[in-house]
Amino acid sequence: MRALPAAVKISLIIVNLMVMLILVLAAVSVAMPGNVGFDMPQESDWNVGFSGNLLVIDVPLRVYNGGSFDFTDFKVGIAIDDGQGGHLVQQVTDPQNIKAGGWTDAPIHLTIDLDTVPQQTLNLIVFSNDTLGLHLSASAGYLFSLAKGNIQIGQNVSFGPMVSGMYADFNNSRLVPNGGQVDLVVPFWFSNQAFMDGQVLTVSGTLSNATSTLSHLQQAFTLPLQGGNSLVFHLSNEAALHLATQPDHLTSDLNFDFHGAQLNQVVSFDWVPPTP
Amino acid sequence: MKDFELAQGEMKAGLKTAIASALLFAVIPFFILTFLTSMMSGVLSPDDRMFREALLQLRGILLPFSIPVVVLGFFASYYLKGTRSRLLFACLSALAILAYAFAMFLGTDLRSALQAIGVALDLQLLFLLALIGVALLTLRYLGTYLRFRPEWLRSVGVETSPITRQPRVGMAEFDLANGSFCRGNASAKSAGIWFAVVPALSLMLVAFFGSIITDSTDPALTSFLAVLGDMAWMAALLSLPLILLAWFRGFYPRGSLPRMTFGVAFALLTAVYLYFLLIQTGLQASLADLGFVIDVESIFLMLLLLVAFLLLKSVGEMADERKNWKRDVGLKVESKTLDPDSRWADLEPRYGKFEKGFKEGQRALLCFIVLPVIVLTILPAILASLHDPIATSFVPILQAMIGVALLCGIPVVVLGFAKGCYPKGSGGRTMFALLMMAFIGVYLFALLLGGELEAAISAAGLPLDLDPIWGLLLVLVLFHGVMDLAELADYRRQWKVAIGRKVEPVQEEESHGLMLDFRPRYGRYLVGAKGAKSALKKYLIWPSISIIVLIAVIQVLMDQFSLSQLSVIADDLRSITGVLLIFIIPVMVLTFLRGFYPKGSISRLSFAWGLCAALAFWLWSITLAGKFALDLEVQGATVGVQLDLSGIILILMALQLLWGLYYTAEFVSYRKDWIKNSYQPVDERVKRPRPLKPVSKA
Repeated sequence: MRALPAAVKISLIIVNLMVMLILVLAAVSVAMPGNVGFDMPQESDWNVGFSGNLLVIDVPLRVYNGGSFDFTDFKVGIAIDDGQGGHLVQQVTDPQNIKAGGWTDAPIHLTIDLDTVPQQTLNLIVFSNDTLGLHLSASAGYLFSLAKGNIQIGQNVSFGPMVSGMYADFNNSRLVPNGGQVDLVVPFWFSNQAFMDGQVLTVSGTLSNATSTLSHLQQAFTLPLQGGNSLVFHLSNEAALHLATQPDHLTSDLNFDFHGAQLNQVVSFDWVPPTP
Repeated sequence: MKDFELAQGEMKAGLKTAIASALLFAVIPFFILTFLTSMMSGVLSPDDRMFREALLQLRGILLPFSIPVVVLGFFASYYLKGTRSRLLFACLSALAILAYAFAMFLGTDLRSALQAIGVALDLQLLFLLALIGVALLTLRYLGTYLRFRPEWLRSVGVETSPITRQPRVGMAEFDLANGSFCRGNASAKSAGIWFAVVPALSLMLVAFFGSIITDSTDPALTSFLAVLGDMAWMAALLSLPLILLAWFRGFYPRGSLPRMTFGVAFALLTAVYLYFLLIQTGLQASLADLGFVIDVESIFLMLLLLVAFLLLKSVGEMADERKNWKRDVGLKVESKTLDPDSRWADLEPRYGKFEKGFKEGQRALLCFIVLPVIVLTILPAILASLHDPIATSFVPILQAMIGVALLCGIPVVVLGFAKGCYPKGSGGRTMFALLMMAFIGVYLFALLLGGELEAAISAAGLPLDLDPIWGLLLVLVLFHGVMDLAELADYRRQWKVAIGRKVEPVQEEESHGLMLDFRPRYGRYLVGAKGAKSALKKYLIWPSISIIVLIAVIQVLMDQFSLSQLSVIADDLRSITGVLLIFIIPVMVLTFLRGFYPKGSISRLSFAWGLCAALAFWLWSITLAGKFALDLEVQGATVGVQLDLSGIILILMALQLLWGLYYTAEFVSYRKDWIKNSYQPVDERVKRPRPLKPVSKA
């Protein structure tokens, strides 16, 4: 072979080998076990809170890149659907670069506008529980974005309840004088998830017997309940007298509202007037 | 004394040799020993300290022993070829190298160093190999002296009269004046490499590394390693007479009686060499002790077949070249008249060469009988030693394949011999070549054992479909038939000229435009076909076979681990097979045309660029544009993975396209010479036209 083609051939072989070497080393460095890692804290360490009607979730995620090149445009996405394909939430974090050779903070900041969540679903996840589709995804580029990867994990998970165990103990309700009036005080409790502390749960409703409405209720509780909480039905003098002297079959129709999520609870009970 | 005048030399040549010797015998060993000693400097073990001390002493003797090698090497190359001074210094430098080897291998330093770390290397054997090398080197110096002596004498004005001898046959042919020292040296060098250095060194190294990495307390293993050491010694010692015979065989000219005699003796001694190496050393028993019951005698018999062909080649060469030799030495030769225009001229055996037939037959024997039988003898022993029922189930099948290889290999060898006998460009050669291809197809089909092999592989858990694999290999075999036709097209005219048939003269062009580069008359079909065959293997056969095997493996994974999601990968692989099939025809055509046209032609350049572009697109298609997706169900969750490697694939495509630059450089470099060479390939080896047989015009 002559000098010129030989020189070009050798140069091309060297270039090919170098490119192959870079590709192989880059691939091996990222494919070695333990060279890519995520440090996802326990749920208790997540920062979840409300801002108005927005549910704000901050997850302090850390990502380890043991490869030879930066991960570019690293994004984490979360999507929740109602199990039938209807999107509830779809958010992707801002792209950021994960430096090679160490850990990088890649916090996930998610906001869920509860107004956009369909009423029925919202009711279920606040007061009951619902099976929702949770789709997590992570994507990044590698080797100057020449290689791009995307991984999604989809799973049906049970959400809720955020507020649970609501119980109005009408069997232990009692008439309590309140100035010139009489109130029917019903012991009431429920529990909530910690991230909801500070939020307000509104209870409204009526107390009625077969013939008429005895009282209207409108009460707000700041979470969490501290103990000794009660639903207080303000009674008219006529209604108070009736209940003080006559047994009756009463019906309580309560509506619980939390950021638009609503739960209706109708309870009937036999009222026995207090013994003098 | 004119031989020793300093004016009779070249400083540049002397310095070159001196520098090379200094590097080889002083600088590189010095750095290696320094590196080893510095590595040991921090180690406190007493054995390692002894090792270090011994290495330091060895380094100390490097200089005194390498200086004479360098100085004498300088003078040996400084003086002109053909001078006595050059011969003297060359012989002295060979002695200096021997002394160097003696000091290194047989001195106490290296031995102590190795003993210190508990390593036993056969240094005497290394010295024996060095001795063989020095002897061959000395013979080379002597050959150069004898060859260039008359020329040098003429250059200094000394009249030499050519030696005239009466041409004689019989025992007089053994006269040493009839031979060529240089050809003898070349033949001896080849024998030295293949019968002494390669086997002895490799056996010694296997024994050496085996003793290091294995358990030395196992008596069977120790005995086996000792047998390997004995074999290395046997190879080195028995190679000495072989080298001598090879030297004499090469020394005498083709067609002479002594050449045939030494050739036959060489073949017979090769048989003895193999007998002592394989049978007498007790290799079979020591392998059996290790648990490998290998029939070494069968392997020996197979190698004897090759030796038989070696012997036949010597006899055939004598038959072919006897008359040419007689004519060369001035003896009268009676030649029979052959009609070049005979319609049977293509099949006329007297135009053929037995030697070439035996050479081709030997190649076929090696590929279709010897190597397969040796592999099929060793493999069952290895499988049986595993004591695994699945592995053992293959043993009878592999043993049955030995019979098939022997039975179907014989016609292939016979046809290979017939093909090789006929000269290139003759119809006889092409006919036997095509027949040979057909029999190779039958050979491959017979190895499938009527589905038994496939059934056994399936029973072992791999549902491998062997039919497409066989089909692909058959395509490859059949393509060799195309190559034989291409050879016929290329050499037909040459053959006609050689047998004395009239051919139409080539019409010269009055002017040559660029587009005329595309005329088929400038091409070489065989070169193009060789390129196309290479493309067929590279871009269809091997990838397809790999994909078939991969799909079978994926099927196993899907069945055994219920990973139905892997069917996506299997589907991708099937679609890649489709891409391979679509691309193979254009790629083969372009590869053929690139090889067909000679270097320096615009036609070659155009098709080369076209091929680079086609291969770049092939790469893009075969990698499915670099986009891969996989969906899996893992513990109730769906996991989807998508990879987009299109950026990397684009870079690889660009690299593929860059090869066009190489062909452009080739075009620029060869263009002028190609035109000057009357549009004939520049690099083509020009063979001296010689009649295939004594021919008289009818």
